Parts: sequence; C-alpha cells; structure tokens
Amino acid sequence: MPVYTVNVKWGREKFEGIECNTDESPLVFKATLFSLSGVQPDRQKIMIKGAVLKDDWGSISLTNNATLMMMGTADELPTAPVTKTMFVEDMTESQLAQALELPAGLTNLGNTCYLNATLQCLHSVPELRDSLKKFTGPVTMTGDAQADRLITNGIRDLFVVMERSSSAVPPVIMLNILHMCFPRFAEKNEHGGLQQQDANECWTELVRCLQRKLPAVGAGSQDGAAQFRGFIDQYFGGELDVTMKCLETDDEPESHNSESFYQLSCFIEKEVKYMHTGLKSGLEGEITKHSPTLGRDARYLKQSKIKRLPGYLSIQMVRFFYKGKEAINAKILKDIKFPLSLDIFDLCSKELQEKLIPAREKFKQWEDECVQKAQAESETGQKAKPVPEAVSVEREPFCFPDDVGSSSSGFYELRAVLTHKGRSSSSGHYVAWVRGKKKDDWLMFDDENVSAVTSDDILKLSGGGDWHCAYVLLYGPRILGVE
Amino acid sequence: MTSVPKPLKFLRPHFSSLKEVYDKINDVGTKKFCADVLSVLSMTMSESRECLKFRMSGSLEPIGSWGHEYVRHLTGEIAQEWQDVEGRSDKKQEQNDLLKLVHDVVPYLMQHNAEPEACDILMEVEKLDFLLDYVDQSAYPRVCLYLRSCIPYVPDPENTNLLKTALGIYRKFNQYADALFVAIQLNDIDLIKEIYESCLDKAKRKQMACILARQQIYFPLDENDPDQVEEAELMRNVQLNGHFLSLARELDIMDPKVPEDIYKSHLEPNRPTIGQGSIDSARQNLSASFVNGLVNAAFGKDKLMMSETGNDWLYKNKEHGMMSAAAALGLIVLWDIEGGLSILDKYLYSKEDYVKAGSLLGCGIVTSGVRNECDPAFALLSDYVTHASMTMRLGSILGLGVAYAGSNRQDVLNVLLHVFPDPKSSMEVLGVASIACGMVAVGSCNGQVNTVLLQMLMEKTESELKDTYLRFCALGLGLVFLGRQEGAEATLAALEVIPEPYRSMAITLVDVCAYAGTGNVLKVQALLHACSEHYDTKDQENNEKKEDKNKKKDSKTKDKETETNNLSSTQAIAVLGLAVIAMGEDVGADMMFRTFGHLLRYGEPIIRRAVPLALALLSTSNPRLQVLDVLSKFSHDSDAEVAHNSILAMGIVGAGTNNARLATMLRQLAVYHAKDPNNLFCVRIAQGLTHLGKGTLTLCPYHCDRQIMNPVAVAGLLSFLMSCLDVKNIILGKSHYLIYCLVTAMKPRMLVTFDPDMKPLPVSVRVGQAVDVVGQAGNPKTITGFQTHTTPVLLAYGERAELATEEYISQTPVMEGFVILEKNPNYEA
Repeated sequence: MPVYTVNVKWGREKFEGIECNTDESPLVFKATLFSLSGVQPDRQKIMIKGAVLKDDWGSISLTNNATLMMMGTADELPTAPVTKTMFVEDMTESQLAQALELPAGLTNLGNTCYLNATLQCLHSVPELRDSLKKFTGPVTMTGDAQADRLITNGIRDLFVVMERSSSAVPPVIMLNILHMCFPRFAEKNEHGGLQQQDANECWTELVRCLQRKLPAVGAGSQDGAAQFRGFIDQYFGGELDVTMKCLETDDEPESHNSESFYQLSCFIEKEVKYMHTGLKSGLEGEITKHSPTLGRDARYLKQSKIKRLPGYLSIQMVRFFYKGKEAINAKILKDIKFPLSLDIFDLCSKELQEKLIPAREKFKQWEDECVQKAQAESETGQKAKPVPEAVSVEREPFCFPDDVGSSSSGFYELRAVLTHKGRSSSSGHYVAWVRGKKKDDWLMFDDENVSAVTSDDILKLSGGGDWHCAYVLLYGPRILGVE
Repeated sequence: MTSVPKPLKFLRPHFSSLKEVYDKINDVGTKKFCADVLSVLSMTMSESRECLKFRMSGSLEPIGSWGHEYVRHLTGEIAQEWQDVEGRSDKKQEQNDLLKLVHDVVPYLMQHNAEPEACDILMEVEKLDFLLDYVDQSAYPRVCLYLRSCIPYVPDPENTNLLKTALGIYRKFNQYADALFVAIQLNDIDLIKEIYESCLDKAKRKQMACILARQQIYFPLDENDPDQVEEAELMRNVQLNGHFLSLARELDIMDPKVPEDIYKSHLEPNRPTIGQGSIDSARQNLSASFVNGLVNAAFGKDKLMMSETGNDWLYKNKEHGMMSAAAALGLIVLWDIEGGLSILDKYLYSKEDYVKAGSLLGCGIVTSGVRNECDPAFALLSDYVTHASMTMRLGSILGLGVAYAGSNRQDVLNVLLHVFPDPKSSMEVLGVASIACGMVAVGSCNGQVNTVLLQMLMEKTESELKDTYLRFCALGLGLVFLGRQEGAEATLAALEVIPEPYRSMAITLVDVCAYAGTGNVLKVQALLHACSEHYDTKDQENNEKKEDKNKKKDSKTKDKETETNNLSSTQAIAVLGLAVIAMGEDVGADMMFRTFGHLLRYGEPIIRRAVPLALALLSTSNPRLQVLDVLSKFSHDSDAEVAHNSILAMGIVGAGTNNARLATMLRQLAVYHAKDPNNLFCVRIAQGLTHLGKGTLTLCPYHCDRQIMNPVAVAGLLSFLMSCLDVKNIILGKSHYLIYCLVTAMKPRMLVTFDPDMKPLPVSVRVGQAVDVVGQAGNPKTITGFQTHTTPVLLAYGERAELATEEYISQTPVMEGFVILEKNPNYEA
C-alpha cells in the first residue's frame, strides 16, 4: 500500500498526519493541502529532500512521518505597476531639468555676466514677468526704432525663452540690443573682447527703459492707477519727501518737495556696519546750495522721508568709488550686514507711517498667533496638523487698495542679490542669487550654472573679503500669512 | 645564581685553573663532583657549551639542585647542541644522551611554571609527544594555549604537529570542546567526527554540535536516537534565527529601519536640493534596496519591501537592480527558512526575469548557514541553473553557492558543474558559477570541481581569458584549496599551461588561498616581491615614441604594454594575498598594515586600488582607528577606483559595529561625494554595512577567540573583494548582486546561554577586552575593563566573556555564540 502519513510544513504552520497515496496523481494530495491551507494547487510547491513535487511522483520516495515542506501563498500575486518608473539616469538633459524644475541659466558671451546677473534678478519679480508677457510688439532690429521698445521686447522674449528652456540660454539678441541702444556697453578691451561693465548701471538703464514702456497695471479701470505712468513706477518707484532747511539762517522756511526714486543707495561710510544705517545716512545729509534769503551759497540740511514705498525695493550698496589716480572704479570691500527681511518703517514720513500701521498690526497679530500655536504644540508635545496651504485665507495684497504696486506695511523680504567679486566694477565677476520657492531655498545663477544654496550662504555675501559681495539687493514685499 | 651556595661565587676567578685540575683528577667520584661545580660555573663563564659538557660528565644529581637559572641555561645549551648534532652522521648516541637530559629538564620546568620553556625545548628536539607524559591537570591549559599560539610562527609541517600535540593533550584530559576546536583548525573532518563520537556526555555533545554549526560543519547522525536527532538539529543551526530574534527583542531593536535612518541626511550640513527631488534615481534606489536589506538583515521585518507598497519599490529599481532588490528580501529574512521562503514565494511567479532571478537568489540567501531537512534551496534553485535566461542562471547559481557554502555536497556540485560545458553560458555566468562551486567546495580539495574548472580555463582563448568575470574561475579554484597548503600543488602545476596574462594571476591566487590565514612568511616575501616590481613603461613608451618613430619600436612597446597588464593583475592579487595570508594573527596583521602604508604611497595604481581591500580583509568588522584613518584619507583620492574601494573597505572594516566615528565619516563622505553617483553608491553600501543587522552581525571570518578561521566566511569576503578589484565594471556595473557573497560571512556576534535542555538561560556574564595570557604563570585574568551583563549579550571584536558567578559551568572554554551551561554541583550561594 503506497499510502503514507506525512507531515507538511507550510510557513510556520504544520499539518500533521496527512494521508498521501502515491498511486494517485499528486494533484489529489495537493487538493488535500488546498483544503487545509487555501493555497491553489498550481501555486503549491511541495519539497522533500531537495526535490520539488512535479506532476507525477517520479523518483520521490516517501516514508511514514516524513516531513514535507510546502511553499505558496493564498494571496494575490504582485503585479508590475502600470506606470514604469522613469530614472534620472535615463533622462535626457532637458527632461531632467523639467523634472527637477531647474531654472535656466544664461550663457556668458564674453564678460557679459553683469547683464546675465541683472536679468536674472529682474526675472525673479513675478509681476514684472507678467507685465512683460502682456507687452506686445516684435523685436525689430531696424535702425531708428525706439531703444526703450527694443530693450523691453528683448527682455520679454528672453524671459519667454528662459521659461521654456531648461538648459542655459545664450542671450545673444538681448546683448545685441543692449549694445545697439547703449553703445558704451559694447566697449572692447585691448584683446578685442568685450569689456566688463558695471551691473548697476546696466540695471538702471534696463529699468529706465522698462519704465518708459511697460503700461501700468490696472490702468484705465481705476483712477488710482492713473497717477502712475507705468508698471515700473508702480512696483519699483518710490517717492521721497525732501525737506531742505538752511543751517545758516532761521529766517528761511523749510522747503518741501517731492523726488521720485527707483533705487535707494546705501552709502558705506566709516560708521556704517549695517545696511540700515547706510540707508539712513543716504537720506539725510548736508548740501550747499544757493540760498534765496541769504543771497549766497549756504549749507542746507537735506532730509528725505519716504512718502511712497514700492512693492519692490532695490538697494544699491555704493561700493565703488572713482579713484582718480588709477582711473578705476575701486571697490570698498567692507562688511555691510543686510537682513533677509527688512523693515523700513523708520525711514518713512509721518503720513506714510500712519498709513502703514493697520497693515503692520495685522502682521503682528499673525505673528503672535504663530508663536502661540508653536507654544501649544510644544506643550502638547505633538505637532498640530500643518495648516493646509490651500485652505489658508487668500493672500492679502501687499499694496494699498488705491495704490497698485505699493507696499502697505513697510516689511520686505530679500528676493534677489546681485553680487560682485573682484576689485573694481569693470572687472571681476557678477553673480545673481535668487530666492527659490521655499523659505530657505536660494538659487545661484552663475551665468550658465545654476545651483542651489542656503540662506546662510546668502548672508555670507555681506562683504568683508574677496568672496562675492552684495552690490544690488532686491527686496520684495513680505506677504501676510507666509513665513 | 641566587640559589647557588655563596662560596661557589668565589671560585669564578679560578675557573680556568679548576678546569686544569679537573683534567688531572683521577678519582672518579671526585671528578664527577668537580664536573658539577664546573658545569655551574661555566653558566656564567664560558662561551662554548661547557655547562652541558660538564653536566654530562657530572654526577647527574637532581637537576633542580642548582636552581632554576641553571636549568634554563642548560635547556638553551641542549637546544643548541641538538642543532649541531643534527648534521652529524653518528648522531644517534649523542641524541639519546641529550634526550635523557631533556627527560630530566622538562618535568622540572613543568613543575616550576615554565611551561613555555618546556614546550620550546621539546619543539627544538622535535619530541613534542613527550609532553603528553609530563603534562598534568593543572598545567595542560597553559601548555596547550602556548602550543596553539606558537602556530603562526613555526614553519609548515611543524604547525600541524603542534596542533596534533595539543589535540592529544586535550583528549587526554577529556576536553572535548577544546579538542574539537583544534580538530577544526586542522580541518580534518574524520578527526572531528571521531572526537564527536567519542564524547558521551549529552550536554557536551550538544555544545559541540553548536560549535560545528558555527563553523558550518555538518555530518549526519543516527536518526533513530532522539538525542542525536536533537543534536543534528543543533548542527543544522535551525534555531539560529529564533535565538537571534530573541536577542534582538532583549536589546529592543526589533523596529525596522529605513535607509534614511542610516543616512541621517538631516545631520548633513544643509545640502540644498533644487526642485522637489521626487524623481527616482536608479542608482540611489538600488543603494537604498541594499541598505534596507543589510540593515534589517535577519530581522524579518522592514518598512520598504514588506509593506503594502513593497512591490512598487521593486519596480523602482532598474533591470539588474530589481534582481538585487528582490534578493534583499532574502537578506531580511536571513536564516528563517520557514517564514522567509513563503515571503519570497510570490515573487517567483513574477513575469519579470530580474525579479524572479532575484527571488531565486533570495531563496539561497535565506538558507545560508542553516540546513533544512527538506532542502528547499536545492529543490527550488536546481531547475534554473541551466535556464535559457542568463539572469535566471545567475540568480540560481549564486543562490546555490551561498546556500550550500562549505557543505561540499556532491548533488549540488553536480548541478553547478553542468553550467561549464554549456556553450550558452556567458562569461558572467561562468564566473559566478566558479564562485558558487568554490564556495560549496571550499577548502575541500574537491577533485571534480578542480578538474572541471581547470579544463574550462584551458579551453579558453587568450583573449577570452581577459574577460573580467573569468578572474572568478581562478578564485573558484583557490577556494577549493582554501587553507589546504600543499594540497594545491598539483593544481598550481596544472595552471602553468594557461597562457600568461592569466597564468601568474591564477597561480598567485590559488597559492595565497591555500595558505590563507597561515601567516607564512615565505609566501609573504614572495608576494611583496611581486608588488615591488615597477613597470612604468607608459612613460618610456612616450619617450621612445618621441625619439624614434620606427614601427618596430612601436610594436615592441605594445608588447611591453600587454606584459604590464598581465603583471599588474597579478600584483593586485598579490596585495590581496598579503592580507589573506596575514589575517587572523595580530602581529602579522600589524606588520602588514605598515607595509600597506608604503604600497599606498609608492605603489602602482593597480596596487593602490587593491590596498584598501586588503586592509578591509585584515581588520574585518574591527574598526581600528589607524585603519579607518588611512581609508578615510584615500576615500578622497583622485583615482576614482581607489576612492570607491576605500569607501567600500570602510564598510567592511566597520561592518555590523554601528561605529559612531565611522558613521560620521561616512556621512561627511556622502556630502563630499554628493555629486558623484558612483562614490555615493559606495558610501551608501558602506553605511549599510556599518549598520549591518542594526549592529548585531559581524563579517569577521574568525571566531572562538579569533583562533578558528571559518572558510565559508573567507570565501564570501574574498569573492566580494575580488569583484572590487574591477569595481567599475562589476560592483558599479551590473553585477552588484555579488555583494550578496558577503552573506556567507554574516554571523551574529552574540552570546546566548542555554541549559542542557536547550532552554535559554539568562545568567550574568562579565564582558571585557580580551587579554593575551599566553605564557603567563598561574591563572591570570583573561579580560580587562569588564562590565557585567545578563545574557544574551553582544560581543564586540576582541571582547571575551566569562561567567560572573560560579553557579554554572560552561561546556566550552570560549564563551561565544551558543553556550550550554550546567549547574555547578559544588556551588553554594
């Protein structure tokens, strides 16, 4: 009788005393096991002494009380996922950049890093990008076309290309336009290559061109916008209330007048260690001018207070001064600390300060809430669910309702830094550092190379050595509800 | 001369006149006494062996009467005299005289705590068998310890003699466990069986079964005796996984870890990433698969592969990566045949060849080091060895090799050897099959494997022999003769017919394998010589080309270049060989370490690439600071392969230690090499190795107080290191699955204690740094700086454990692995 009682081990389970008739097909035995384990017979692998039970008993010889091993699961078989994983190693350069959301760099066309850095900084302003997108008019290289329009179109087209591309873009057309409109940028050095230029000069020129061309946002629909001529005036332009007081006579009344600005300057004097002090001293100073009451040149105290704050505040560190002897723009390497978030309240005029207060209150309230929440979290010891971004209240506009593009709080966040490395403005290397999407993410645009850095690296740009020093800082509005 | 009567000292100035007087004395009795006095005096006076001479002609009074110093001096002269006599033709008579004296000296030395001297003199006169008569109950442990520690310093046949003597002494005093250790060292399976059979004590037999299981030696026992069935189960190591897991529970490390827990990238200085970083890198996912496997090895649980999304993870690896990822599953359920195979089972039905091959390899890995009576690995894998798909072949072949490493099982070998005559087998398959055969037949001198491998090599053409995978065929041959010393000579001679690029490489490799762990100085010298050759023909070639553009010259230089290639491959093997021979012995290893420093600085590029691997072998799972320093330095080397190998070596050196300093170093390396995917991969593997089994496993091939070499572990380590010799094409290429060769070396570094019924028995033990007590009198402490723990405990490299109380008696002198304790009948609490 070829009937044996055997034990079958299945994983950690053991079925004891199963009868097995080797005259019958193994399927019968497997069916018994199926009833015990629920494993389909075709999924059963039964092993004894180094052999697998196939469709017939073959050479397998059983003994009573032999232990068999069964492998197999009753579960579903794992299947390959529908979508195939795409690996970095298999991607092309452009696929990779797309996946990584890597912004495009700009190729250096021979000492054009000043232009690249400036353009990258300007590119970091989303409102400017939008405004440029709406601007119409083709690039025409024909002779007497207006320089402003050429530049504006050039920048617009370049930005479009940059957004589409992921690898470095050569700004050839833009450079040609720049050279055409401002021949001094086309200066050549003794080797026949292009001369390095001052990036701030380029910045100012570009902004000036844009200012003349880009239409104001909301023009026509609201009378509030009408007071500004264009987009740049709205978002980049500020106004100063200048008070002149003659220091040599008390008879002369203080004179008030308005001045507009597109950039604040931070003068680097002896006592200046922080950008804020430098700004302050730039807005206050003694000048000598003709006094109508005295009928001669007299010393005046010129005090400027900001009357209108633009959404985007660019600050120039006045690091270069002209050295007559060597005929170069020498650089002050001094370490001037700048903050990642700037509060410019104390530089504003009384009237503006009052207007700023409500918005500032809101900020304060929100900050307090955050602190309380953090405290509550640390007390309960568990993290409260992070507030989902989408649910949070619609982002408050950063401007006054009647003044598009202004700053309603006086709070700023650093958006971009244009740095210079080297000893004079017409030599060395310019690099743009632009804030990324997250708080601590920064991108360094060193011509065609784009790499990620941290905010610590940004704070190291304050100068004081031969490392990159901040030259132009672009502050953007701090937005309520965003840390 | 403290024990010499004072007046004798005043005789010193009269030594020469005394000798004259002696010659003139006619009275026999007086002459003898005078000879005694002269013998003592010449101890300090004479340069020639007069002490011995006068002793021979003296009155032969008890040897100790002139004090210990005298005996020691006399012993020295006997040894010298013996060597002189050796060369003479009429040596019989004189040797007999000397031996008589030896019979006097040895008992005296034995009684006076001078066992080393007694052993020394017997070694000199080649009469170690005398020891058996003179060793007593109190002295035998010291004598045997001395004999065993002498082994690395004596030439070839003598070391076996020493072992045999020690074995005899142990058997005389019924020290079965010790005798078993020595028999294992002798690598004599019949002797092992004999010792095992001769022991009748049940607890001792079980203990021996545990020791054999650690060494992966298995022989069938009587199936009808229930005791023997239990012992056989111990020998099959079936309980390994269960006991390991109970240790893990005790240490509270059961929670699975994910690769990020190891990388700890949050500790890295803020390394910003551009964008989301959500895209998959095949390289990084592969390293994550490996790290996940290594870290959770043998724990049976993980978060990546066994979760609901585990299947998706498999497909996040690319091609060969899938194979390695699936095999990692096997590593996680290591040693757990019953539970593990059912987890792997479902992947055996996969449509993807790579997944299927990986799970086949996984099945092999699960059964590594444990034997199941149903032989599931053989049943499952043997069908795929000659499968049409090369991938499946690779998985099943390596799986079989890992599963049956050290078993020398004929049925497994028969299946594996089928691969070689098959013309369809690719080079990679041939290489892996050689490794597998070498592992299965490791140290067995198996003639069949030897013949098949040799024949295959002889059939290959010169260009085929240059294939990078064929290096493993030489390794396979070497492994077959691992530790067999002269056993490999016939094969070495046979290898002479292979064409030269391969010949010297293969010969060197087989030779070093045969002498693995012996510390043989002559072999080391030969290897160093091979490394010292400088073949900088490249520069010459350039110069020559400049000088002379003659075509003939060019062809000549080309010849030279090919010559350089073949010699440099030999040099790489030679460097590795230095470590293979010197490992396992501290002094030799230290000397090697210094030598490697020179080689790193002045060696050829190919040598520099091999040195980190050799260092890894020298201090496997022993993160010594000086080794780490060197490796860390070269992990930044400008030669990419030196850097890769150094990083991987760091992993091997720190394997399973959780060494914090190494972990920090590797994290820094991960930052340093963040942009280099190859180096980053190496760093990840090294990190995984460092945290192997969450720091509970070791790769060290030595166990039992670092006395016994586990050939299976050496085979695994060597296979991995050999594949690192061409790290770019093998480990960083598509054959990263060869990392799983290391599985055979993975062993828990634990101490678990049991009562004679094999129930876990927690006792307190002192764990401390081992102290070298060789040649010390009395019963000195064997550990220092100890702490008291309750078993089960982990033992670090170089640590030793001893029972803290006398409540129990250990059945083995070496408290490592599974130890059976018996109640001490004389214990009073």
